Amino acid sequence: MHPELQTDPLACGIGSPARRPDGEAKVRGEYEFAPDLCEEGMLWGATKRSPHPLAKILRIDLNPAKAIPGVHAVLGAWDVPVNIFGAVNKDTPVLAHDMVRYVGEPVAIVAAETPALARRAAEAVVVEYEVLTPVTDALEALARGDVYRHVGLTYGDPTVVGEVQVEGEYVTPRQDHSFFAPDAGLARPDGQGGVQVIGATQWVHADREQIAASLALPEEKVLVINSGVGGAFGGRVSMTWQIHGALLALHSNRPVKFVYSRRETFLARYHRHPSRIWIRHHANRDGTLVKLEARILLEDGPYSHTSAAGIGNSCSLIQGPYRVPHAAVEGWAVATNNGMCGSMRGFGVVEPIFACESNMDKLALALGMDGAELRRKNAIAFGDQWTFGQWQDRPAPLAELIDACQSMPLPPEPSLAGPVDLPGGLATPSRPQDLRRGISLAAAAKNSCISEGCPVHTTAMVTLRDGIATVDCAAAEVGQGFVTCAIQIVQSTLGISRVRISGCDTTMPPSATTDAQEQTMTSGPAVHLAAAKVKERFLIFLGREYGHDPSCLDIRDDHVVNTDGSVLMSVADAGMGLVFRATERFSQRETRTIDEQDSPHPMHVSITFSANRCVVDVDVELGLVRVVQMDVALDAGCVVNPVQAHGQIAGGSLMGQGLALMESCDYAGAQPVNPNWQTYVLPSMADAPSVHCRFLEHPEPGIPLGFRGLGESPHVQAPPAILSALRAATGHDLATVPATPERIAMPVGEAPAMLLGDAGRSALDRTGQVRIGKFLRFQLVKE
Amino acid sequence: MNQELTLSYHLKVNGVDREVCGADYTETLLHVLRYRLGLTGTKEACEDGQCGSCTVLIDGQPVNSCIELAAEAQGTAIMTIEGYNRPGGELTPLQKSLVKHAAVQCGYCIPGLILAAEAFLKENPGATESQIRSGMDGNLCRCTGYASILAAISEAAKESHAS
Repeated sequence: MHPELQTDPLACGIGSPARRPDGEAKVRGEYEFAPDLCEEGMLWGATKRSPHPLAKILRIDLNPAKAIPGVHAVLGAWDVPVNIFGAVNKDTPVLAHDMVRYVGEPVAIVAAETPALARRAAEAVVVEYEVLTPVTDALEALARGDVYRHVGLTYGDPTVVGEVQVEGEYVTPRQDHSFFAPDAGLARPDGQGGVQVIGATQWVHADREQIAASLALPEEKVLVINSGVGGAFGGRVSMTWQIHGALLALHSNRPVKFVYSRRETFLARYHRHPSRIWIRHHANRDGTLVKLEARILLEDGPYSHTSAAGIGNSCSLIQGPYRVPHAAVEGWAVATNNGMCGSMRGFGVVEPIFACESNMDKLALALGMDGAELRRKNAIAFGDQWTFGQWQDRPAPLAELIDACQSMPLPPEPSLAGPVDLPGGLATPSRPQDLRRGISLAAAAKNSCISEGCPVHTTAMVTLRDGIATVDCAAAEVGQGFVTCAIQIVQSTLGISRVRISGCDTTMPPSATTDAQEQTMTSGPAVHLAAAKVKERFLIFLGREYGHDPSCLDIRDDHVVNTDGSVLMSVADAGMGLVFRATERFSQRETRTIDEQDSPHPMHVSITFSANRCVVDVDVELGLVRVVQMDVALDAGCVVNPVQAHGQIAGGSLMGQGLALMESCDYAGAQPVNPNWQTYVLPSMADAPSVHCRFLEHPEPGIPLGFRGLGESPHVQAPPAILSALRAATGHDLATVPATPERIAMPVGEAPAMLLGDAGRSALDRTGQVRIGKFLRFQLVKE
Repeated sequence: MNQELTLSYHLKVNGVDREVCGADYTETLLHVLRYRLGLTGTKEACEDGQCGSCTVLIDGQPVNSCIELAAEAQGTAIMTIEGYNRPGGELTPLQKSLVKHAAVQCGYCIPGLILAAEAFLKENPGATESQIRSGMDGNLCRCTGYASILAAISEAAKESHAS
């Protein structure tokens, strides 16, 4: 708890603890989220979903649903003009046509007068299936060659060997975003043959492109408006109900609302891909890393979605924030029928950093070295080259970050305050004398901005009138606080306090997606450039109107001032009621794929470095854990709002703790086991550790004001830090997350069987041929 | 039960008598509040009684409205965030404290959390951080990591104790 971290209603500008513009509406329950949307005469949508993970569709009969009074539209695959869509590759049916490939795949959609009637009508649709045997195991998928993308990366001399070699195989689970507002929204016909889709998204323009393509409409006929977004965490990158809603609205000529249940939100959406990673570090006896070998298997769903980007991130950042002169890394993203997988906070990097850091712990143990010392010794530095052929041409202050973590005060001894402070929480059988305390440190590198050739840019508009500025930017606010940051940036750049920000929709020029911790570092500069241009135009106007030299004028505290600081007049008066406007675009540097090592461009726009020292109390016999404290240090470039930044660190760290200790979305026989919050358990207030953070502020080169991403790193960082502390406390070689009580208390047999290591290599050798067809190869999104 | 059988009844919500017409017996209080009475400040998130986002007060006690049948709430006094809000837009001390400590990110869990905290602080004025962590454990949040929420409720607890 940090009572000292407070916002200030009068705070203004970059670096200040300004308040969210939407905070008051949110605490009064008046902020409109997607599930809250209502409209006169609206119908309710519902979806008929596949109960089978893999089946041939023999027959679909929509007539029983159509016959129900009060049902206005019932649609199947043949009603979709272009029945294929996708965030990257267009390989996903809008409605299943001949096959279903995961439990929950949409087969038919209905619109009816009430939610209950819509659900009943969806039930009434008859589908006959020929059930087939699903692929349920990632290794089986690999052996079959069902690979979306294969990455092979060698660097330096892969035949070099180190004096000390340490290997391990590490497993991470399918994590659900579990954002709070379920998938929901409203689509309505615009009366001119087009459609408006209002819902929660991370990227309005990407949604519009896909909706329009599926409806065979020009993009101008589709308006996508972002409603209030109740959390996203990477989970709202691709669409669920949106195309369905638009189709039903056009067919029924009525507004149609969808609200998924929590179970449906689990089934219909993708999750973080489970991973299995084999890694071997080679080092000299003094601890200097010599070589990295790794094989990374990411399990993706039956449609490609963002799988190619995930494995690219993984194969590059398995290196961790360390200098490695030689490397041989191979990775596969494979297809199974265990539901859809896709991006989630720390996409493709949570998994390799967990493996890398866990194996670094093992290496430290083998060398008899302190883990922090080993990391400091091998820290990548400015001017070094990464294994993926990118120069580290920006700050890389890992040693400084480790020092910052270690300089933060440790917590007092295990508390006797009450059961809520003990492992196991409220009704715990643990007693203070049963506990062992573990303290350890892990580090991380996470790419900021989408990588590998995806263009990252934002166009923003700033308007100044009567001393008040308005920001128009299509950057999605999902709770992270970009709206506050945008206002603060304009306040600083323009020198005024009164700044508003408009909602976000596709009438605005495109912005970057709220992904890959890129929003503030991409849209922030765009907003800044537009505000700077407005200021320039405003001062030129003033110079002409009032006979001043514009270069001698400035704006400070809502007033026009002279170079000597003397106040000339208020901005509100000086503008004479006129409108000053500018629209500016900011683009991140161009990137290339991991394979294109001859290209002059980097693979990642930027890499954020962080470290986390974690303190845990463990009841070793029962395997119960209390994470007491996490001390996080992160190089954030310029921090726009320290209180919000701390909120990202605390929230991201706890979400990482969920992955480390409790969250796993399980499938058995390709059927979801726990698609609800009774059995998919989220961290609660009783689980929350005390999170302290220190920000280094080495500005990001090439970015006006020097912003760098910070929202995902804490999530990437937390699981290895917690597991490292658990290893310190228990002495167990914990290789699998979530480290549930059984795994901690009875680790025998828990270590995976080196299926990807040299012993299991034969399985991999059968995967020479990658199937193309149903499983498309990686295609870059290029403009 | 006959699916076609519907009920009409009255609910006392935020001090006002509201009529519910033609509802299924199985409709939850959450759905009736949100979709029949238009009180969308009460949020649906898990529909499983797990997260507390739909918390309302029934006769002053916090209840997960997603697992409460609306028809069974007849004869009680129901308070939602709309009834908790002070008219005229002024925030309550608890709401002010949540804003001040940046305890609101996406904000979806907040209305339910406020009502739960209101009931909790009434029973536990001056609650310590440890007591809040155990007493408010039924209200989940996915964004904040809870530190800011704890700070906000702790401050409100101190104020409620002092006043």
